Amino acid sequence: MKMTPTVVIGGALVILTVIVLLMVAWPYSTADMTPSEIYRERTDVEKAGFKIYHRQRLRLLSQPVHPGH
Amino acid sequence: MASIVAFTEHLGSQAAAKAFTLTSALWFAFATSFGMIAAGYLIAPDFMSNIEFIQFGRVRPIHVNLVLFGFVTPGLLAAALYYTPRLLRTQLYSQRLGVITAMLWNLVLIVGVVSLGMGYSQGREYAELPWAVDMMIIGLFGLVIFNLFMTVHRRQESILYVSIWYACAAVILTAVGYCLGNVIWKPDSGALLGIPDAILLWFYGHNIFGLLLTPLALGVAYYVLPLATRSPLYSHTLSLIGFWSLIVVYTHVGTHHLLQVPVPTWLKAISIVDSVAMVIPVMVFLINIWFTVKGKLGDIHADIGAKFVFTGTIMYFFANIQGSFMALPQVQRVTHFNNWVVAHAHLGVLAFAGITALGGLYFILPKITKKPLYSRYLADLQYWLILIGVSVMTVDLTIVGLIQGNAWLNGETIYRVLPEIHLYYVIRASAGLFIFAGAYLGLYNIVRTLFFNPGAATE
Repeated sequence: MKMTPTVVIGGALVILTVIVLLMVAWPYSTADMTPSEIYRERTDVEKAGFKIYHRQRLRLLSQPVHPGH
Repeated sequence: MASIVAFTEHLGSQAAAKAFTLTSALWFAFATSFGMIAAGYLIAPDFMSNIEFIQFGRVRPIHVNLVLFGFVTPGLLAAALYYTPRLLRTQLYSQRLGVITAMLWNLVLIVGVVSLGMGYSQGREYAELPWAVDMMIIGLFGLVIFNLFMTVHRRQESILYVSIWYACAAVILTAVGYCLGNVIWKPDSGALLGIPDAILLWFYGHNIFGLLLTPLALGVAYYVLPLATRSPLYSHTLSLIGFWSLIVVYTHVGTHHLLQVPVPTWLKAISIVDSVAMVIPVMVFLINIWFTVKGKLGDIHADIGAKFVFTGTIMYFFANIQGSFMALPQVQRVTHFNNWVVAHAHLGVLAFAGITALGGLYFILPKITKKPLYSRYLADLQYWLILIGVSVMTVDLTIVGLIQGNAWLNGETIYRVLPEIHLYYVIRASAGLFIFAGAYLGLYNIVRTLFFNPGAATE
């Protein structure tokens, strides 16, 4: 097998694309986001806690690093 | 611009490789410093906790990101920027671009450390850096890709040696994987929602090791060991099988981080099977490289660079066997979510990829400076400090992991387990001191070799 730049780069990218479709895109597209029978809304206290500790969001520069301070 | 030209001229020939060598040595020292601070917290939780910038939750991602992107990647890239033009019988497309890339690389690392230290984190493992820093890193990979690929384009040698395959594949696949894994189309969060985000994150997270550090390290090993032993590569066919099987198999394994999570069972099954199948690319590589150097251990011992790299291949063996083993669900019931995994990470990233990167640096340093290494003694001392440090740390953390995992399975409460593992955290920090000392010794040796080396020119 002659390993030309096209074979190395093209081949690697084709493999990566196929595996991303299989291992990431397929489970993403088939994920069932319907809430289960034990689902309930968070209480206000839980929402406040979630907002402080579990947000996956960059803080705005205007926000304090420790909201409780 | 004038300062860049002056700095490039000051570095002389092979300026790009020198700049990345210095980058790697410098950030290795900083990364282990942050690691030592983190180890201190595990012994004494109030240790410096009143200093907000270096709280444990901030120090840990700083340590991890600096090791990945500050120490190991630039070290392996330094070797790649040296061996790529040599193997292709041409010059690097642009030494100045290489130096600019290294300078920007350092700037981005500083921005990343400050961001994480100030608490600006996206909270996803290995993808903590904020969106703006992510974009800078992607830009840096773009510059490296351009420089390497233009060098390949202008080559005089028609045959691409296996090291070139690995270097080219590593940078292009990582650039794509980094964009996907950091969800760059969502700047505010850098994340998808729910379980699909966990699947994407671990696809990316494991591929930072599988598609960046591993191929770059294998490229260095394939370059250094045959040259140091003056032996032809054992098998071209095994090189081919190893290269393609690495990309195919490694990219499937990320979900083994999520066996306790409601992801589809078929996805877990694929990740477990492929984790075990990792023995194929790993053993194919090891058989190829070990048969190449068979009977030449004296030559390896004589060359400090080759000594580091050969040790890296042995650690690759252990990391692979352990990785395949701990992906099995029955094993992972005990070993997941505790220090066993931290031991595995140190074995893979430092003992394999990091030691290989150091070997690459020590192998190319006499060639890019045209002078012998400033001190072979210091390099040997660094070798033993790091080897002893990482070996003790790996064994120690493995024991801690077994204690934690079994305690959890037995329903033991955490506050009763913490005193049991306290001694092991002291041993861990002590082992870390060896690595810490080794990193600073290496920085001194490399700076002396690059800038203040009284040795006679070899050419």
